[in-house]
Amino acid sequence: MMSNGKNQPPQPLLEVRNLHAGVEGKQILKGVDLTVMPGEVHAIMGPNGSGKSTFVKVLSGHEGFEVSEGEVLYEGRDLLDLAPENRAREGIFLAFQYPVEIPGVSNAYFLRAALNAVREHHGEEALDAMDFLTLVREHMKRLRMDPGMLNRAVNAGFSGGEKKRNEVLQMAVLQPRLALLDETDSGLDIDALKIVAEGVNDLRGPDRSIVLVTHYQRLLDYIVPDHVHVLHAGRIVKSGCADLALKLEEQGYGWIEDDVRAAEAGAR
Amino acid sequence: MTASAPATDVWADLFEAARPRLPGAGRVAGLRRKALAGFRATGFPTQRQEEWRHTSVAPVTGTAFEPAAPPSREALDRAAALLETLPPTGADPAAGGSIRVVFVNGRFAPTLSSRETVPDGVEIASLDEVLARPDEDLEARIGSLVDGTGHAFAALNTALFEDGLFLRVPSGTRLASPVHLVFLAVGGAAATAVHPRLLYLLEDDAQASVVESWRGEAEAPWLSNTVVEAWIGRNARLDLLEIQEQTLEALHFRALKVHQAEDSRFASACLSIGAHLTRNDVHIRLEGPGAECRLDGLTLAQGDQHADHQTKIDHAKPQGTSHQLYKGILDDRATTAFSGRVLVEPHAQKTDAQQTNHNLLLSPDAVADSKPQLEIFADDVKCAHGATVGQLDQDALFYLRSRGIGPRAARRLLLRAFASEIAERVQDPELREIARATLERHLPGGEG
Ligand SMILES: Nc1ncnc2c1ncn2[C@@H]1O[C@H](COP(=O)(O)OP(=O)(O)OP(=O)(O)O)[C@@H](O)[C@H]1O
Ligand SMILES: [Mg+2]
Repeated sequence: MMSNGKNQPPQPLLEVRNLHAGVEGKQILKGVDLTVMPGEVHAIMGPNGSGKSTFVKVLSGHEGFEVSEGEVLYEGRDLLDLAPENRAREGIFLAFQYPVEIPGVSNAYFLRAALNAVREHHGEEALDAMDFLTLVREHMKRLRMDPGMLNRAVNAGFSGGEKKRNEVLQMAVLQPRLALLDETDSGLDIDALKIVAEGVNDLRGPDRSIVLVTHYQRLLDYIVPDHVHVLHAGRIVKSGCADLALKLEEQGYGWIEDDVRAAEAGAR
Repeated sequence: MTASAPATDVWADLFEAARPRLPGAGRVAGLRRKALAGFRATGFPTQRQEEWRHTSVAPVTGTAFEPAAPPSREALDRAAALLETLPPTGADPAAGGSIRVVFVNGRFAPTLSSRETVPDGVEIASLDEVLARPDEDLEARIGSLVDGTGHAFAALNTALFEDGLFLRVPSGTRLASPVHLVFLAVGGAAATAVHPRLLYLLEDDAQASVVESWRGEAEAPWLSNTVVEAWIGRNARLDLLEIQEQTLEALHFRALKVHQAEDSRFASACLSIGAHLTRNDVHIRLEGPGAECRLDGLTLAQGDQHADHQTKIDHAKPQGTSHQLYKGILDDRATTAFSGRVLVEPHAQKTDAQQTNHNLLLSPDAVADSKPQLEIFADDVKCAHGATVGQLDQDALFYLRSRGIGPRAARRLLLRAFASEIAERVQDPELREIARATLERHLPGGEG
């Protein structure tokens, strides 16, 4: 099953080619290309409104966006045809920039329903309430979360940081193959940032990949990315190694915009 | 009035025919005559009347109802079988301590009821039983809150009730477990009308919980026209859970009037699930200072079901609290109306009145109407109302699906979450369990 057998070249976990997507009458993504190999961590940075959240939502199957061009392969198969729940069951996880509050559904019930949906998809037995609690409590301890949060309604009345931590808890429980983290570091205090980074690093492994959307170098001090990309006006206009994030932190996006303009002028 | 005149005559004839067998003499007989005369004078309501704007009574006026006959042996056997086969109401006669009073086609069925554990001093009796012997207190009370004035259905009930329940909890007594009332419709081929009358009397410092469960197998039009009168004494408390799961042939009318004394508490949760047409009139009068009432309601309606909830709360004294939360989930062509009137009288300072109505529409043809009415004549009060009508939260649906939960399960989960708030607000733990189990039956779990 391992794709990096001796004679084969390794297969990308995710391959995005020329992805165009938008909402009614508005193009947001205008040709995104991205290849993520198993085990890699990619950081996506870029100015507000450049399309970062749109990109990860499209990857997780949000039906509010229409893909007009391009393709996405996940484990070598067409991803865009899969319903959101099937993408999740196949191992894609999106930590939302703005996690949704669901009054009336307890965190425990929700998480167990999610975990069992994924397990059943893989022909595994559903976890009963006791086994589930043992598992989730273990993860909560690592994330230093109050176990009382399990009995509260999903994200309802959670503080900004608590919501983000709750996303990381879900990720830890579901153990995705491809984790998409959309500004999971925003709104976290310094200790929480470290804890969340630990949670993400726990997930790292030769088989799993992580795409981090972030505005800050801070997070990348703890989770060192293999590649850094800049998404600008719906396209990845610059890619580099971890140093690129440092340069962006120092200089902002102005120089990249200048580069883009120069390149466009040259092309004309 | 002219349009409904023939229908009124029909009911007057029914009254004349029933008169010899209707229980209660003297004052009660007079009450009946007066109610019928009032009904004949005003007739059935039309949708031109504000309080009936959303509900047409055509299914009542257009049907020739017969009064329910006393249940035959077969009907009682049928009822016994139904008690076995219908999902439990929470009243398990095998379990010790449970008090269950069963009515079959509107009449008390002693063989199906269990009252062994009723504590001394507490009276739980059928109206037919108590009206057969002189009881001045009861005779003075019956009809003192609802005599049918201004309400055609309450008037018909007052004129025509044949049986019902009298619950009296004496001063300082607390019932340890709920009283389960089960109203079974065992149908025949004919359109049938029943007019149960319920009286709940809680003396000072008394406490009781009551579950009213309306169900059955009626296959012909079934008019269930109930009046409830309740008195809650000083520092007394009544918790009521109404579970209406009638068949779709049923027309469910229920008028409830409650008088609350100082520091009393009344909590009512109403689950309207069955019946083709439901009309609930609730009128609470907070007569003593510091009285508190809580009205919660959930309507689940589909097909052509219609439910109309009218609540009226009079804050007559200071420091009263009234909190209302009515919710609805409507599918297909179902319709609901909620109208909540809160009156704060000039002396009722420090009143806290809240009223909320939320409706979820699952189909473009479903309609929910909401109308708050606040009439405030005191200046130091806290009154709030809010209403929403909307669809299922798409962001929440996507969030659930993005975690692997399928769209059908996700929808069910959200519907249950919306509805369960009503069950979770029930404070009596046994009543809350029954409310939860009822919702579980109608909105099954989210897994899968
Ligand atoms: N449903 C929508 N309807 C209309 N415009 C939308 C919609 N969703 C996103 N957009 C627009 O698309 C653009 C990209 O939005 P997106 O949320 O992807 O940006 P982002 O890069 O994540 O920004 P931020 O850094 O602020 O989170 C923005 O201009 C946004 O207003
Ligand atoms: Mg964003």
